[in-house]
Amino acid sequence: MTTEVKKANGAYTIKISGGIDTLTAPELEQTFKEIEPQADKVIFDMKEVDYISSAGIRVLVYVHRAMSSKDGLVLRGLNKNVSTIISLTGFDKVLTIE
Amino acid sequence: MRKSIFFKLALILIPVVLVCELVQLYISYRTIYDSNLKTVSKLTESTSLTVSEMFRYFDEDSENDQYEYGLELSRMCETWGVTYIYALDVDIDKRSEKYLAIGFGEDAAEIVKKSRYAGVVVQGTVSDAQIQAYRNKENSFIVHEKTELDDTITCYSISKDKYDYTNYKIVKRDKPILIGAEVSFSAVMKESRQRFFSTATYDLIFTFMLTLAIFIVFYLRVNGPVRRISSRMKNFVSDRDKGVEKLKVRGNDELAEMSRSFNLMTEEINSYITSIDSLNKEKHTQEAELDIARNIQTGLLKPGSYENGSVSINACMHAAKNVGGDLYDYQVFDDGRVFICVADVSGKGISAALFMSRAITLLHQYALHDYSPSRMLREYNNTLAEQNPNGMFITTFAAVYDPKTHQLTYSNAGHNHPYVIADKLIELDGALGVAAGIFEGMEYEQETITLHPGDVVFLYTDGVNEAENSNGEMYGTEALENELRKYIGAAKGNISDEVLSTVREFSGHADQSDDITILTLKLEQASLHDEITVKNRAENLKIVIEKINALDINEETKAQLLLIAEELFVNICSYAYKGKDGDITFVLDIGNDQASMIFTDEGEPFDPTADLIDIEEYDHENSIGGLGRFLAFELADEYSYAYENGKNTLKIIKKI
Repeated sequence: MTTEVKKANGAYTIKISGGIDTLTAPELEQTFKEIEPQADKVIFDMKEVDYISSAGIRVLVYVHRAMSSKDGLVLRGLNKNVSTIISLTGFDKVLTIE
Repeated sequence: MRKSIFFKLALILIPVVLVCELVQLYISYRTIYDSNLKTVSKLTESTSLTVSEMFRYFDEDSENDQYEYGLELSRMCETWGVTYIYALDVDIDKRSEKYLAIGFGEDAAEIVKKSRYAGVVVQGTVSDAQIQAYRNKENSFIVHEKTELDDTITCYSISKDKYDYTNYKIVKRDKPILIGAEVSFSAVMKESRQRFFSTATYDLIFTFMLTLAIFIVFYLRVNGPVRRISSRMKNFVSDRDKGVEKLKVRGNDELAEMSRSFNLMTEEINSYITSIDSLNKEKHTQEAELDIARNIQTGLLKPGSYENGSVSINACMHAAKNVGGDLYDYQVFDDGRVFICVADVSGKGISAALFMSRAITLLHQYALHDYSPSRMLREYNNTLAEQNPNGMFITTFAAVYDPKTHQLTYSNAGHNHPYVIADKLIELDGALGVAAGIFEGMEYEQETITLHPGDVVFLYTDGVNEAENSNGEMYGTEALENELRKYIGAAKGNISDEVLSTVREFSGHADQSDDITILTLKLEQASLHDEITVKNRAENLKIVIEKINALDINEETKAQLLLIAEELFVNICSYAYKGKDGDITFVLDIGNDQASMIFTDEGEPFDPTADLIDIEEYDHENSIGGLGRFLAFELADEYSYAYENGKNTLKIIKKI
């Protein structure tokens, strides 16, 4: 999995490529923690994400809750598989998905 | 005989004739009677008058006169046929009469002869008629008396005059003489009667004979023709083959008319039957032809199912009535390559069936010679178009699958787009060319698609999507696509049969309007059994992932298997050995359309299938735990846990 961070004013877009699983989720979390203080809003561009497991969902939820006091977390570009998994967990109703 | 109409007629006619006869005879009799009455009356009158004239010269005192006149009266009786002539001297007060003279005729009664003679005085026989006649004095008076003794007609007249011999002149008598001329009418009638009855008898006999004769003639005249017509009618059907002669028609009356009508009717019936016969023959010929066509058609087709290790084929062709012309074909070569095709001929009947047989033969040849689908259709089209006098055409889809490369190469001559059921429904809409058989020199494009084990290629003809129900609605490609999508990621049994029964269910009672043909090519999973034991470290997940990634299955299922494996493996790693090292065994089995994964560890007994979260009740705002196991078992089709022989054994089954 790779991440690419772009900044536009207070909004940080993290483009993620690959799968967010138990082995790569910590890396994503770490990337977020690095920009967390400066970020008003976080956008995950997940067009290139082909896989997500519960570990990945946990990171998404963590970031979502962390940003809830600010402008929040937005998920973009979810493909069919990833959407399905997130829907199964019911977190599609909690997370902001565009 | 009793049933005969003639008998019935006789029963009516004979009494009628009899009654008529009797009436006639009665009238005759009365006429005779009246005539006799008249004659006799006239007779008595003229007699009486003549006699009263005669008695002018009668001298009542002369005994000689009494005698002579008596004789004369008898002579007159006999001559004129009168029964009595008498001259009376009537005493009205005493009501007695004296016979002055009396004459007797033939029929005079003996008793009267004896008791009445000149000079006798009879008391109390003066009748009212006599009195009246006497008083009348003028003319004669005729009376018809019927007594116990006799039936008589008497004419009374008065002889008032007398000849005075002394003075040679006629003077009035002091007392008129009553003259009676009496005829015994019964005697007259008796004679008439005798004559009458003998005549009547002859008359009756004659009438009877005549009636009988007429009857017989009529019977013969009518019965014969009627019987003939009746028997002709009865035997009409059975005699038909021998040829029915016409009835002889004699004359112009109603019977002749009936015979003529009968002849006409039999002619018409015969021609009607002949035309029905020929129509039937035509129909049977047509049906026979269609039967032959259908037999040719089904005879050319390969068996409905085929299996080797790497592919399984299921095919069916259900012909509609009166239509011929769908076909499917497949061919598996030694090197494992598979040729499949479906086609639909435009025509009907034997010619379509023969065209179809040419088509199949050509396709076989070309496939055997290793032609690519594109070349196959080109050569095939040219050959068919070369010799196609009926202008038939055939839409064809032909494809070759190579299991070594997993590639399906195909070409399409005007046929409906087949589908591939993979992890999504794919429509093979490329390489569409013109239907074959019409134009020589057509080129056909070719396309290739890569398939994976578990995929199903679905070929069909328009009898499927154009199947009609009784409302005239068509099943439609959309419904077909929806039906096929159901098999994505699900067990794929005999999809051909199942789609066919769905289409049949849709059609209901409506007649099948077109041939329905389906062919499915299913890529079988290679079976696999793989086992590995690793240490309980999260990074060893990579090994498990590698094994799963290596599977030749569709991407969606693979992703789910990966997820399940990850969640469960991580779970075991984290908890089974309580931080200590331990082994985890992973067994992966592929076969029978399913993948099974078994995780075994020797750690703490722990049932991961227990206490799964309820996603409805889950506190999404605040909680985060339990998602892993939840997802694993949610995505699995089946799962089971057991603790046996000191091992936790967790089995997951996923259909592929």
